[in-house]
Amino acid sequence: MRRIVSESSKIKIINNLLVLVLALYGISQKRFDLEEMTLFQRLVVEVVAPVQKGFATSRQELSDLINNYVRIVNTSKENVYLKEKISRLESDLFQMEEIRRENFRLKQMLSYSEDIGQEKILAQVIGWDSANQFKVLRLNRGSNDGIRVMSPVITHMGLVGYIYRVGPNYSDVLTILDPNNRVDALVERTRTHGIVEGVFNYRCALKYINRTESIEVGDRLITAGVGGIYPKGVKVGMVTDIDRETSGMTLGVEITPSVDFHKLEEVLVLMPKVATTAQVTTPAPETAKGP
Amino acid sequence: MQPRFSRLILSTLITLGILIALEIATSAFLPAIGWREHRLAFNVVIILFMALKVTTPLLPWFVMMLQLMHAAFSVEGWALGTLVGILVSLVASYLKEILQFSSAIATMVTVQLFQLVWYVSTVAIICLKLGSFEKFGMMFWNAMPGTLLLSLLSPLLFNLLDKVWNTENNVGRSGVEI
Repeated sequence: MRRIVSESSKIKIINNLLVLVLALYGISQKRFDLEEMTLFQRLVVEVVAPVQKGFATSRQELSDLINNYVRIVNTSKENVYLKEKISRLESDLFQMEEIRRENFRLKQMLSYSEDIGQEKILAQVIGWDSANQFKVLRLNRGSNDGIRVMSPVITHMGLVGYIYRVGPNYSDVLTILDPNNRVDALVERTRTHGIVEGVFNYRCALKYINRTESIEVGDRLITAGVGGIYPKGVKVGMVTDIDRETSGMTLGVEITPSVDFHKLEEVLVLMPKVATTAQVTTPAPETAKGP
Repeated sequence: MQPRFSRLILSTLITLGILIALEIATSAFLPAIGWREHRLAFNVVIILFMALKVTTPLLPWFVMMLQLMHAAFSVEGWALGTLVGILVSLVASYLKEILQFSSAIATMVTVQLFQLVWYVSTVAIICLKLGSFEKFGMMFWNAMPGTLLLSLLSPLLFNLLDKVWNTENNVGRSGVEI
């Protein structure tokens, strides 16, 4: 009996050591700013991303479903019938409103995209990273659509981030809210250089700003165009708080991103500068590709 | 031996299915209905269940398998969670004798404590990797609301996994030998 227990303990120790060594090797190879998808990850993403996409595209229907469920609990049949009828009409109305809003957003995006002399791809946000430590979102476009790693991602409101990893039909964006994403930015008014880093709670920090710089709350930030990822002049955010009490040579500057990440639904992925004409490759994310 | 092995495979597959469903819920369903502030790391709770209630020499490989699946939904990757999962399961293996899951509150408290250990370790490793502990507190506190909610949900999840792993009659003590 003792021999069996000791055999089992030996196997347990060997298994633990083997997996620990593998995990340590994996961590040593891990990069938080760029990654290539493994074949396994591609497979899983290809299978599950359509489901994620389904939830993203049926946002309104989900909301209606929850509302309808709450409404019809504990009511009579007649009430249920009438409420269902109203609900259907409301749902139609909401859908019309949703289409109108989407139309407005896409028009804004198209009008903005004409100002940028770079080829671009319109993509839809279909999911967010499932870990709290990372602010990454998933798009319904991948390498088959021409998306490459490190491509900048923007909206008409400003900078979103860059492509962190890409699969054949889906890609992940490391947003500017993530602490691993660093954006070289310029204060528009004073032309002061700084680095924007994510600090959670949908805020960023502007770092390495000398105490003598005269930046103020309300100053706008744009990309500096240094570093080869982001084009120059894309809106990043606005200074919302300056901590002048900090010790040291630099200021503590809080930035509110220009992009409202709570309401982000469509984005533009900028392609490397090969084409000169400003043209959006696809008309609308919902209709361009099936799930 | 054979029936045990086939049960193990079946339980593993069902657990992976549950993980995929919950990962889709936290990465797509909840954000679609407006919940975007905090993510619910269900992979952590499932690994904690395995560490606390299932006794098998293959546990490290299960942890790795769950984390490989989780990596498709998160840039966190598989390695970090695997390392922390094994460290936590080693701690859990020493504490199994004194841990009790006789009530929902006991399960919630235990899961919350182990989640704290998990996040301290995870965030510390990320900070080590980034070469700076400047964001340690921020990253740790950012995860806390999610952990509290997960602890509240843990009795339900443990109940479900008890059925999958057939551990419901073996509450606490030394777990179930597979």
